[in-house]
Amino acid sequence: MKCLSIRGISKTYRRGNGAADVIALTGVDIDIHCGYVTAVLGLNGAGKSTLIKVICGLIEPDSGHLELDGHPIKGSLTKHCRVGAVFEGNRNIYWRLTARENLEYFAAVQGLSHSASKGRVNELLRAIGLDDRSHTLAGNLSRGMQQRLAVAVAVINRPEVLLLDEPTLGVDLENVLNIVAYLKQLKDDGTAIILTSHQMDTVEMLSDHVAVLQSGRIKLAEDIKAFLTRGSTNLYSLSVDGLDRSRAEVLGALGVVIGERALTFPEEKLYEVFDVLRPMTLGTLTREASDITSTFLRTVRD
Amino acid sequence: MFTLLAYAEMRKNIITIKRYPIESVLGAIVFTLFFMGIFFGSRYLAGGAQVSDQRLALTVATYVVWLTTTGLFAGPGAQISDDARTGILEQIFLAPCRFASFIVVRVFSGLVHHLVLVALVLSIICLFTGVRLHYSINALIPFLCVILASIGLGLLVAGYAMVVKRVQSLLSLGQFIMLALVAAPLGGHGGSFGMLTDLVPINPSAQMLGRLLSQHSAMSTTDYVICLTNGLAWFALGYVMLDRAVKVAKQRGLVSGY
Repeated sequence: MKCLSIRGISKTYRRGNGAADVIALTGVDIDIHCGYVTAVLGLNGAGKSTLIKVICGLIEPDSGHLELDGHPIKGSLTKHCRVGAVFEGNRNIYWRLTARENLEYFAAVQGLSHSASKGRVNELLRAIGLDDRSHTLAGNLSRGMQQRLAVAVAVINRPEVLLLDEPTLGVDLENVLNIVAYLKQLKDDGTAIILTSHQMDTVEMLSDHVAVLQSGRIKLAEDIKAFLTRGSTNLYSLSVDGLDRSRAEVLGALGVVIGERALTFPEEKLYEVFDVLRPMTLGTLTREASDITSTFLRTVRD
Repeated sequence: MFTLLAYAEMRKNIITIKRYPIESVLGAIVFTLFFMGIFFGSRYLAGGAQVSDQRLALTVATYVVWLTTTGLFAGPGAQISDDARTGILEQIFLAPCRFASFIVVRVFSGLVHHLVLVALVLSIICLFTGVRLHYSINALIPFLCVILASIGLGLLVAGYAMVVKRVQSLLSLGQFIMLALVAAPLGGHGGSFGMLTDLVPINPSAQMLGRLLSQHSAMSTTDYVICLTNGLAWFALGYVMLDRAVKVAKQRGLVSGY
C-alpha cells in the first residue's frame, strides 16, 4: 500500500551577502510505503538531512509537495498524521530528566493523555530495554542507551511515519542490533520508516527500498534486492601460482587485476583468461561477493 | 492538548526545581543581594539625608516589576536557544500544534515558578528595608498588563532566537532595556507625545503599577484602557512576529542546528 509520496521537492539555501546559493534538493520524487523501510542513501551533502527535515516540516521546500495516500497535503505532515523522528547529531532528550520523565514529557507534547501515556511509557521502556534504568537521568545513561531513549521518544506517539536520520550513529554493535530489532517490530506493525545512514550494515539489515541521492537529485530508487543485484558485477577471483612474466603482460592487457596469489577479472573475460593460462594448473575459482557498501559507492561514482 | 502541555511543562519545572534546588533559588538570592547592595550603598552615599517612605516604596516596586519583566523577556528566547543546542527544538516542532502557541503555553506554565521567586525576593527586600507596599485589587490589571507586554517582548526575542539562535548578548542587554522601559517616567504628557508614550511596551502599566504599590493612588478608566491596550497589543505583536519568524526559519532551513 502506498503511504507517503514525495513529489518534486526542491530546496535551495539562499546564503546572500554574495555567497553562492546551495542547491540541496532538486525535483525529488520518492514513494514511501507503510510497513516498509526506505533508506535514503547519499554521500555527505547529498541532501539526505534536508529531505528528512522537509518531510517532517522543519524546512519549507521551494517547490513540490507531499501526498498521503495519493492526496496532496497542505502544510506540515504533522497536521495530517502522526510523525516521529530521530535527528542526526543530537539525542533530542532532556539531560536533566530521567528516561521515564523524558518519555512522559514528550508524550504530553505529542498530545497523549496522562492515562494513555502511562501504559505507553512502560511499554516503550521495556521494548528498548531501559526499564531497569527508567529512573536514571538521561545525561547519566550511556550513549547507546541515550540513543535508544531518543528512538523511544520518537515513537512515543505510535507514529505512522517515522524519520530516522543516523539513528545508530556512535552506537556500539549490541545497541545497534537492539535498535534494529525494535525498528523491525515497528515496521511489522505498519509504520512507514524513512532511514538515512552512512552505516551500511544497518541499512542492509533494515531496509526494503533504497533511494540514492546525489547532489540533491534521486539517482536511483528501487527494491533493496534489486539494488544489491545491481551491485553484482560478476567479478571472479582465480587463485594461481607461478605466473610467468609473458602471461602476466597478456593478462594485464586484458584488464585482469594481478594480485600476489590471485587474479581478479569480470565474467566476460573468463574464457580469455583460461586460454592465456592454459596449460597451467589452476587454483580455486570464486565469484566475488558484492555488498551494499560497494554497490552504493559504485552507484554514486557512475 | 494545551492543558496537557501546560501540565507537562509545569511538572518539568517542578522536577528541575526539586532536583537542583540551589540553582533554582540562586537567581532569587543574587537579585536580592543586588538590591541590598544598591539600597545600603545609596544610604551610605546619602549620609544623614532622609529618603521618604513613598520614594523608597516606589524604588522597591520598580525593582520588583523590573525583576518580573526581565525574566519573562529573557525566558522564551533563552529556552529556544537551549533547545536548539540540545536538539529538542526539532522534537517540539513535531508536536501537533502551532510552535508559537507551544511557546506561549510554556511561558505561562513557567509563570507561577517565576512569580513565586519574585515574591520571595520582594518579601526579603521588604523585610530588610521595612518598606510596606500597598497591595490592592486595582493593581491586578496593570500587573497582568505588565506580564502580557513582557511576554510579548519575550516572544519577539524568541522569534529572533528562532532565526539566529545565539541571543545571549541580546538577553544581557535586554535587562537594561527592560529597566528603562519599567523605570522611565514617560507618562503624564498630553497630545500626540502622550499617545506615543502610551505605546511604549510595558511602560504605562509599569508606571501605574509602581504608583499603586507605593502610594494610595487611583486609576481612571482611561488608565485601565491604556494598560490593557498596551499589554494586549505587545503580546499579540510578539505572537505574530514569532509565528512569522518560524516561517522564515523554515524557509531558510534554520529551525534545527545552533
